Amino acid sequence: MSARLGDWAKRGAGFVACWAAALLFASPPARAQDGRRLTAPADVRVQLDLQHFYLPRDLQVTLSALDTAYPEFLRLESLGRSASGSELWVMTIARKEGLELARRPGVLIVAGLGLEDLAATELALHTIAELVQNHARDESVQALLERAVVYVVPCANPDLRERVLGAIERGEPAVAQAEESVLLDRNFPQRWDPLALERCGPFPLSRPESRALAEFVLGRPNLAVVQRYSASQARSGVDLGWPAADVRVLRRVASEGLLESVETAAAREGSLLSFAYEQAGAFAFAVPALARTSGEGLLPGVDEILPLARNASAASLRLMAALPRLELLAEAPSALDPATWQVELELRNLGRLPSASELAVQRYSAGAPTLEARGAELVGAALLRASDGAALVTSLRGGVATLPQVGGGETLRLRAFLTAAPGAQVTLSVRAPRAGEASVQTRLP
Amino acid sequence: MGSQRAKPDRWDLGRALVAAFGVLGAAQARAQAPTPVQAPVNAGAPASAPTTLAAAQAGGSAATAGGDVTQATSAAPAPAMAPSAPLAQDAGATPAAQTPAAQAPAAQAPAEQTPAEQTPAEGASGTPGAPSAAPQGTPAGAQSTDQPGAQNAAPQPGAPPPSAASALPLPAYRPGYRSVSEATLWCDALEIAAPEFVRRFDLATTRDGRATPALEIAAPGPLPPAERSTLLVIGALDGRSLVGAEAALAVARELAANARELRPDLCVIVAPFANVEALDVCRRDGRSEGRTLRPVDDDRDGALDEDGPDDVDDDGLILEMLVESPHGTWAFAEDPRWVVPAQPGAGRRFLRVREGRDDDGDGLYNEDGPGGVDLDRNFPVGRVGPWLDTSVGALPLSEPVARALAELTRTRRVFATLLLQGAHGGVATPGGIPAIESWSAADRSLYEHLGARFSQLTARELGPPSALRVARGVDAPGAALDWFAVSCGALALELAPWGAGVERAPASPTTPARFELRDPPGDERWRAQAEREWARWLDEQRDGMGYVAWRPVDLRDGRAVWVGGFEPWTVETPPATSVERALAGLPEFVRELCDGAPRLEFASTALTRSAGVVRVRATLRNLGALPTSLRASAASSLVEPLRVELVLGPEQRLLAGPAAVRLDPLAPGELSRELEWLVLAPAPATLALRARGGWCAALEREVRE
Repeated sequence: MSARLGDWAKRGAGFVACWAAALLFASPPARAQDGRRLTAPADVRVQLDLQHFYLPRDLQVTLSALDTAYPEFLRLESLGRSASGSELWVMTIARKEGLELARRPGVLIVAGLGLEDLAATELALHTIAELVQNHARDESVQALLERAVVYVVPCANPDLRERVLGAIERGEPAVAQAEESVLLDRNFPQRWDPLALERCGPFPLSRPESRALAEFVLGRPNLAVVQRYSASQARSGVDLGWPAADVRVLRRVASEGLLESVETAAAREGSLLSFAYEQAGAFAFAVPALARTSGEGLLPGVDEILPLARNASAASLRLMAALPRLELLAEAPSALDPATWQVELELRNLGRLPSASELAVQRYSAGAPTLEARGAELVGAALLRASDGAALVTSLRGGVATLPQVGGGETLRLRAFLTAAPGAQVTLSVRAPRAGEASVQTRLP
Repeated sequence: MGSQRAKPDRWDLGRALVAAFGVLGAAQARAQAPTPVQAPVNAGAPASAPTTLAAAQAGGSAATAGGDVTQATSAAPAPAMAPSAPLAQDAGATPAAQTPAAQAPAAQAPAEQTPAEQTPAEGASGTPGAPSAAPQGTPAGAQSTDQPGAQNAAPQPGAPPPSAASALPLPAYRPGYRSVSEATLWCDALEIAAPEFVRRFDLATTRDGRATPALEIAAPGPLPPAERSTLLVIGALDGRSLVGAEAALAVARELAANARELRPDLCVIVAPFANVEALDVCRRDGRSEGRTLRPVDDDRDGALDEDGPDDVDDDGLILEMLVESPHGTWAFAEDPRWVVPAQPGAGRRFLRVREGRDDDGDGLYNEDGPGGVDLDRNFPVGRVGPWLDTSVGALPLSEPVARALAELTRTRRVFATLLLQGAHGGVATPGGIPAIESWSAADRSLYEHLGARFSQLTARELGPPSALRVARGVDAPGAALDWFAVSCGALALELAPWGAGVERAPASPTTPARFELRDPPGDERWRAQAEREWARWLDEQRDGMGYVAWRPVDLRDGRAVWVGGFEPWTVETPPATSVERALAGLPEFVRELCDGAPRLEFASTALTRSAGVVRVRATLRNLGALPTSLRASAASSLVEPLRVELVLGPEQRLLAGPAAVRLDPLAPGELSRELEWLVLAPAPATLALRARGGWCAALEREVRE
């Protein structure tokens, strides 16, 4: 297998470069037309070769080619450098027009963190391609790119990948190169315990890779979901003391999306997913795409990559579809006095995930949704209790009302009190840091 | 690790510093005594109240806060003033008989010469051949600058000494308090006076760009510092124990003065002012919260540092405040100068907070004051989440100094870490949380031995060392001490220069600083008991001054509160006159620890030949007074296990025996089991044995036939 891998590694880089060059100067891609999206061709501007494993230098070429080919969707940046100086790339995927990216709900996909998901780099590449190539023929992808932002770190541990694939390419035993004195997925702060864990590092985030990832996660308050492609590390019967509401959501979304939630997949000491959920409050899932491979040794066979990648991308897209999505509806305003108005509102979360996890609320890592008005002054707001319709006053500061988090599929009934001249055009907006924004316009009588 | 500073003109700078220290020393002597803030008036309790805190505590909470408003007092000794009523009369001795005794040494100590006045021999503290051994009266700088390339050289400690002695006298250490800038200058002067032994570097730079000074002290020798056994001395990481920072300076002075006598396989790194931001606050105010100055939204209301302490009664002091609340855990004692833990059913209960108004109107007092991260809670072992306490930092080791200390340990063979801080007056061992306390029990006998030596050398009556959480009276998750022990595998001790029993009068029956605790840590009873000990100290040594009895204050927002408590320059930071006593014996203890660092030696080696086969035998011994590593060790410990390797030549082949033998830690003086190998080697055979691991510097011995 080693010889095949080496050949493919060399072929792959040239292959991608040729395709990228050819497609860049080719005629514009076929745009999907109304009603014919299912038969419209994909917007393929870079051809990925998933019949081989990418060495870090080839990966960089491929990512750059993608970044150049899809400027309206992609932005390639470096999170930092690995211990041996390789760049840690993150690809940001979203339609850049419209709402500012930092205000959209975010998904972070991290691949290639350790030996258990060494092959996930190719799966992450496939997911990037799925998103940018299908934007024109798949309405769900198009909507996702417009309202959310996806961050993909295709290779979080380039040093390990370089060592292992380099050894295979040279025909040397790769197992010896796979040994790491500090495992990245035990080097995160959550329940990091040097007395209980081996190879967790002298201190959390001692490796530059884990530190860069942790800072990335904490630096993005819009991150709603963090996902890995890792083999199952299932643990059962462990009471982690997490809020019951979150556990229900994790289990439901995981079962619907054929995923593993952080609860079972990686709720172990020092892991990225534990950190993402327990400190940042982001829902964390693993796509167990690499759990059932037939390859021997460290990597699946090269002919398995594409089917694995298809399954993995499909699971990722199912997870992205569960992202919280807000919708705000308004009834006609009614006058309380000549200058004061009352508007009944419905705030719906059309996604399956809540606007923030309960743990994020408890641990202050996610802000509350807020209601604001433009064209009128918001002087009060109330939440109408579902059971009896009682109006519960919400806090208001500087014309901004604070709302409770909205569960997946839930609807909140609100009442806003406005001061404005009759006939004014009023825009009411709800913003949630991890669920995006929703607005509705109404004209006062 | 920090970067080496640029040295534009070290000798001119040296002369300037020495001249400056002559002035600074005198200025400090004037400035170090805390300024009296308010004249004492009277410390009497209401006639009906018991006059001892012990009696008051026994009586529980009964009395209301009287209108008998007492006073704030000066922290400086005022012999002319009439002695106040004892704060804790059950100490059993009259203040008048005891007061002058402990102050006398400081007051009567002969004024130390300024460095400029010192003769070279004095500067070197009698060390023969020390850098100050240049001919008297000869300008040392002139000698050095005459040498080509000497001006901007940055000698490394451990490097061979320059041919001509540098000959500037070491700066004297004068017990007192310095600002961070003064301490940094002092460290510079130490390096300039002894460049072959001392290297000054910046351990880290704070977020606002301030350097954290550090010193590396080592005797010349062939081993580079990174391969030597290293002692790490950290002053006042907690940001509260200003006297701990001073203790680190005194330690550095002692080690530098006798650096030539340091073992050549040893290196000492001293970070005297490890928490520069908080320590400057401490020096200004006499106390600090110990947090860095980076603003943090503690109450998560979107505003930063908007509700900090205030001087609500305009007495020039920020003390403590009692706010009546049904959720309070404190109540007035029968002697209303004091508060005690509220008993069930207590009538009036109080929350105990720092003095200040509710500046942001949220119903809470001083819940979002200036400052951010507590460096001594920013370490990863047992750390609580930032959602529970913002002072721990968003991530472990998020603060530059904490990170730099952690990185430093990765590049050094740290055998011991001493944190000079705390107000318990004794030795605290790892155990900020119960799990680590249990973990460290395996090395109990070692800690007890060191505790006994500390007690002897500092002339303090101390019990056996206690775990950190017991010494502090409260759990200390995320403490640096636990991380250095658990994750670095270092011998980690917190040495508290100051405590209630440090200045104990010889005939006093006062309970020692390590008094018996009958209640679990964290309980308010512990705090009340500690306060009783401090009260006894004030009674015995300071005529009862240094404590302001609780008195009512109108906050002018419709609420009345009580303000009182220990003044600055008392409990956590002693008055300047007490610094000398607080530091007594500490440098000697550190020096003894250096001398006792573990050292390996091949006790026996033998090589016998039978035809072409050579049998090699060896035993290893630990010549140090400390073991080669802790018994308790973590899986991820930075300390390598002790092992012996056989190094073979090109024509030699190992026939039997492992190439590397792993050994259990060796106790002081302990001999290892005999190690044996069979080697195929042509005559005459020469091979090498190499021992490394634990806290020891590597050792190699050639064995010949």
